Amino acid sequence: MKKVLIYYNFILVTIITVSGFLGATSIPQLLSAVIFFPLAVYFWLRVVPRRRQALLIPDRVLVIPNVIPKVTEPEKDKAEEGHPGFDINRRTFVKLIGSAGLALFLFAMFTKKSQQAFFGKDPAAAQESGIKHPTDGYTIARIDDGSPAFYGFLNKEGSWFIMREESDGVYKYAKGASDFLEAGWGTRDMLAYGEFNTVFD
Amino acid sequence: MNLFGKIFLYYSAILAIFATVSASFPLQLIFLPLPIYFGWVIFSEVKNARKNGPSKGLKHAPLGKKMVLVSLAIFLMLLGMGVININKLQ
Repeated sequence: MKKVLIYYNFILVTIITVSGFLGATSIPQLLSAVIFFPLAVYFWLRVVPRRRQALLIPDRVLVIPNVIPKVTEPEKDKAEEGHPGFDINRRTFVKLIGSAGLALFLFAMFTKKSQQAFFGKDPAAAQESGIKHPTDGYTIARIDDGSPAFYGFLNKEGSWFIMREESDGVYKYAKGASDFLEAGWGTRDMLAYGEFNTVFD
Repeated sequence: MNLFGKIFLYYSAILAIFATVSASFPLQLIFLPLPIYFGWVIFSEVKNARKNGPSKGLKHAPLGKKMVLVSLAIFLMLLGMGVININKLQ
């Protein structure tokens, strides 16, 4: 149990420390990564294998005969010949790295928040960098389902736009900054409509 | 455990608690094993010291010169990469 905790923490702290150094965008962020570095060293020292006798696992069962006719030279174990430095701890370590890495990958896939927390991205800055749609904040206010059909949209500042749906599937737009009922919806037949990119450029 | 080991352990434990407390909710669950581990280690150290008295020798093998050099090299490499990254951004 303790070993699992050590390996898990080792992977976690290594990821945090390395991403802290590589993802630092300012000196204070780099300093915080430096402060956390001893934590990573602590777990590295716990994980790095010490010099000790490696445990050999024989790949065949050794059968000791009842009568040994003649022993000329002690036979070398096949396992020892094939894998002289085989360490069972290494295999456990690789397995743990794989499982923890997979868990972290899945976590990163399903939560965007964790990515921001790991790499220190400011959510507000990330939002600013995103593309804003010109019709954000508008909501439907009037519908005229004749032919052509008109849809009136209004936002909380009083700006408006009207979308005209023509019978051949063409959508055209007209917009205004205020006075939706008088200058917009009331005169929707006479407004100058244009393509989306020309009206909202 | 010697004095250096104790300082190292307590410093790491404080950092682990700080990281867990300051993280947002889903991350706190991921960080939780860190303070659990340090709590376990410190508790067993204290228990051991009460039972056997303060230990005079090293429980673990001393930190080798090679390990110190490797740690230092990794630290300098990461620091250099971080500084280069910041300079690029500026």
